[in-house]
Amino acid sequence: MTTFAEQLAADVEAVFLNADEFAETVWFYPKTSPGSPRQISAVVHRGGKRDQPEQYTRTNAALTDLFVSTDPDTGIASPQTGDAIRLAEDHPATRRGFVEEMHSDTDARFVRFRLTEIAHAGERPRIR
Amino acid sequence: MPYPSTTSGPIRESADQLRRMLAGSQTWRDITAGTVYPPDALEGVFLRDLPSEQARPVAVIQPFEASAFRVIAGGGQNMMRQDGALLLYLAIDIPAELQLSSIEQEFYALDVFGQIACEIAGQSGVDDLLSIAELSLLTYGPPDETDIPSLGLYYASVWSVRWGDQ
Repeated sequence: MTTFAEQLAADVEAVFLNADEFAETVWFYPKTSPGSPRQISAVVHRGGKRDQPEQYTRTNAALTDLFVSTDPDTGIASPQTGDAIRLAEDHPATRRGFVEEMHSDTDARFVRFRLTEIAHAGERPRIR
Repeated sequence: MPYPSTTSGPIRESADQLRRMLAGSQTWRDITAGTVYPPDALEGVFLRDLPSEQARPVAVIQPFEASAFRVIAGGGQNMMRQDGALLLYLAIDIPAELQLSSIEQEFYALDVFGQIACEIAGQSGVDDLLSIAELSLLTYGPPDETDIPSLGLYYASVWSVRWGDQ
């Protein structure tokens, strides 16, 4: 008899990471070979843009969370700083850099990426 | 609506004078050659907000801290002269061949920034350019490592440029 946990594990690949069900295709650019991206399937959560004021720049940062397989061919086996992704709607030159791994299991993991743009360079905003 | 490309008034005039000094730097001219800028960002120098899609190298000049008129001779004349300060932001890309060595990246960036500063200082007080009283490096460095995939590998430096009788 199949346990609930076993059934859920089977659903990860067959349902959640199935591009015909919940997942979508994402380009993955490993740090070690950024010129050789590969397509992976992932459930994508798109966060809104946040203002990040610093002393001499102000950036906009948009977080993107992926639920992805740990398989080295269809997912991300060992995420690291310098890895990047590009979503279907992104410009071909856009890269969302790896920030952190939020949770990992045997078959799947949650990983966070960030798209950053410089919105202002110079001193912090002044009184207007 | 296009941005104004002319300057008037002593504060914006000083920013334009520093822009011309940066444009007079051979190092700056060499590294900006071939880069496309909007019509109001002459020689790659923005006197306004930097658009996020702008390719590097870029420079931003803006008023900084105090701009003042000070008495330089008292008595009945009460002569006043203006001084002020500008903030100079410079950002340059790191060549691809240095991507694996953070030490070489830092040395490369500091060499370029230092040479540009030296070439600006060499024009101080010449003709109608700024009389710089102090040119100081406030900070420099690359972006956060996690932002390099988005922003690219570059170095920025921020300078305080004080001019006049300070």
